[in-house]
Amino acid sequence: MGSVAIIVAIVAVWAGYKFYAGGIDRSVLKADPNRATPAKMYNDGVDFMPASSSVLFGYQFKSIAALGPIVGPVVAVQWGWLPAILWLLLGVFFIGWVQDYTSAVMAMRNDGLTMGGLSYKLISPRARTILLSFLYFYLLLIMGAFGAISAGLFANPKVAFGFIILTLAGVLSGQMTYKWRKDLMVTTVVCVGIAVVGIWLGTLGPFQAIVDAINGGKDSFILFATPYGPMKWSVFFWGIVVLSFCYLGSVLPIWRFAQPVNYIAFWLVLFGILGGIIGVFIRMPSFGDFPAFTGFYVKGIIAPGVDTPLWPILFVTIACGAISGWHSLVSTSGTARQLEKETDALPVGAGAMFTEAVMAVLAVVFAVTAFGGYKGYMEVLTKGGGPAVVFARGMAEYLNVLGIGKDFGLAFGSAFLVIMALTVMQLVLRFMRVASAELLGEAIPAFRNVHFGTTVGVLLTLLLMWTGFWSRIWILFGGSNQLFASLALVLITIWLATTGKSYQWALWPAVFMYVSTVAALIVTAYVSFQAAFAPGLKAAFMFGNLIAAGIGFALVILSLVLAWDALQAFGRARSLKPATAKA
Amino acid sequence: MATVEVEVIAPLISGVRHCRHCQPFLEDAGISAPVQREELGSYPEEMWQDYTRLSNLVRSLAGRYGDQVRIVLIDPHTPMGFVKCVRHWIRQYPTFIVNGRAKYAGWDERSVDTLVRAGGALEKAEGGAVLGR
Repeated sequence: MGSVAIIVAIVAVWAGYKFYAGGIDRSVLKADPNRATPAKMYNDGVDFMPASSSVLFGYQFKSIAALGPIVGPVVAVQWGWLPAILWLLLGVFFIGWVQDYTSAVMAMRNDGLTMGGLSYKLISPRARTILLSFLYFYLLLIMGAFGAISAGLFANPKVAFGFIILTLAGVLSGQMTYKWRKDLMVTTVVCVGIAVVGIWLGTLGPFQAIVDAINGGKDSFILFATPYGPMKWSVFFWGIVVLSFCYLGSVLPIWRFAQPVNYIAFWLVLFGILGGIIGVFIRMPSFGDFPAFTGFYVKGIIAPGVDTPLWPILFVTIACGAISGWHSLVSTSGTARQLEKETDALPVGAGAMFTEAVMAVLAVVFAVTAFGGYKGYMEVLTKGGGPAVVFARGMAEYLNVLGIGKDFGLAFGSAFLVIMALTVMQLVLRFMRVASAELLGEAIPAFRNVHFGTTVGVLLTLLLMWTGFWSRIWILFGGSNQLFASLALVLITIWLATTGKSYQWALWPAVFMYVSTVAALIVTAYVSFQAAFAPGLKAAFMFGNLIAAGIGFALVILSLVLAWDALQAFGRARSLKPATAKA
Repeated sequence: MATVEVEVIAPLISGVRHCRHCQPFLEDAGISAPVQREELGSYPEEMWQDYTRLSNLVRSLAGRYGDQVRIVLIDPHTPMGFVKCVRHWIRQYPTFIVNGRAKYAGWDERSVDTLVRAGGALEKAEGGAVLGR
């Protein structure tokens, strides 16, 4: 059944790409290979630069696929595998590619304007400000969600040592490349070899014992109770270590830390993905007793014990793979400026999105098949360390088919996920540091200091991680991400209306995404607000719940203002006569 | 006349521009320039010297052969760069690969010229006319 699901997904995305996306491309957008693109018109060799469609496809896919298509589906199968797979396939078929592809075309035909510029031009000046607000919430929430996921993985005594060696191997690779000028093949073989051996050593008794000692015993000990379960010393401590890595990534020169560590990590991610896929096809796993549908409500996704409804929460829990607003930023600010021909936009924008949907279905298959059924899956999800551990153990199961030991597979899969999360986190922290220096540096000169700005970002993240419930942070993060998607689809609709083209195929997805996302944010903010005043709650957790509620309500208010401006812009666009409109 | 393709394999200075996750944020938030400035300024001095030297060499080639040559810079850290390193067994930078076959590793411009001419390109005169071999 697992491999059948993957085959069905591949056939569905092929049909979506070939017939629906291809049909819209031919009949509505009419991509013209002879029309000059911004890459050709404004070629500056930096931002605007023609690139081949195969290179751009790689760029686009690498940009859109991180932890999103893995974590979201792994969490969402709590409603059963059918809703997750249906949303992934229907979402990508009717909404996902529409956004990714058309936002690239829209930017291309508007001189390569970014989402901010397009919002300003097509909706209103304050729409750009609202977009930036979504962006800052998104970054803060991404730090909290990824930080909590990584700390949970590190707490496993088999993981921490290997990851530290992997990071040191990355730093060594930077030294060998940029200072010692060694050739890349030697550097790669040596440093990837050290990383793999380090991960393996970390699974052995003596090294586990060191981590156990740091963790305060095999099962660690409870530092304090939270409303979401006990906070173990190991998770608390490794959370600080994770943020310390991000700190280094943010303040050290990019060639010294972030770039070379990412380079070494690239090989591990590549081996992990290839090994996992081959393992699935060799084993041909069955879905077993894993239910197709467990019910409209499941307990515990927004908060422990709280009934979480399938609609609207599923549609923000799974973003990447079905539709993710983040992709519209990639399509407009990067891809649209590098497309050599208009006709390349379809294979690049839509093609990468459809490919990501297959990757997300693979994550569903991992979660559903690797633990012998629903009970095993829930056991690992709720007691074993969350969705990241579900994925890492799933990967270990399928790497085991290739003869790789399960302990090593688990450590490898965990390192794989942590490095994907840290890659994003250290750069987000760098971004937060620079943004705070630019925006607040005048009023508060301390923000101009590299270490001060970074420390503030780290402390805010730790606050989110220690006082909030990670799954709720994930949903809020999904909410801010899907507001991007709603905005992108609204922009596309207005642009199509302005240029006298058929717009229903973008309008209804925009309405669905907007309504679902705002509803999800209201539900999440309301539950957080209620939880803040639960009897006997300590001040810190009241604070954590209030932060979550505050972010949720702030996003809702901003999205309502945006909807008002968008409605007016849409009315103006519809009143334009097609003859006066130009593409 | 067929275009001569010159692939130059060398570590490049990219800052965070290579990161497709960050760049859209930086662009939309309008803070791309200070981040890039900070990152580019942090590379080791010797990297910058090599980068400037390579840049001059590439400009000189482009100036002398014009549109007869297509010059592609490839960082060995990219997947394509790594494949090229393995395929052509590149152990030293910069390495110039002409038309996918002829290879020269080093800084000697005349050696690169020899390969480019062997590939079929003719040097241009100052006015832009193509000179004979």
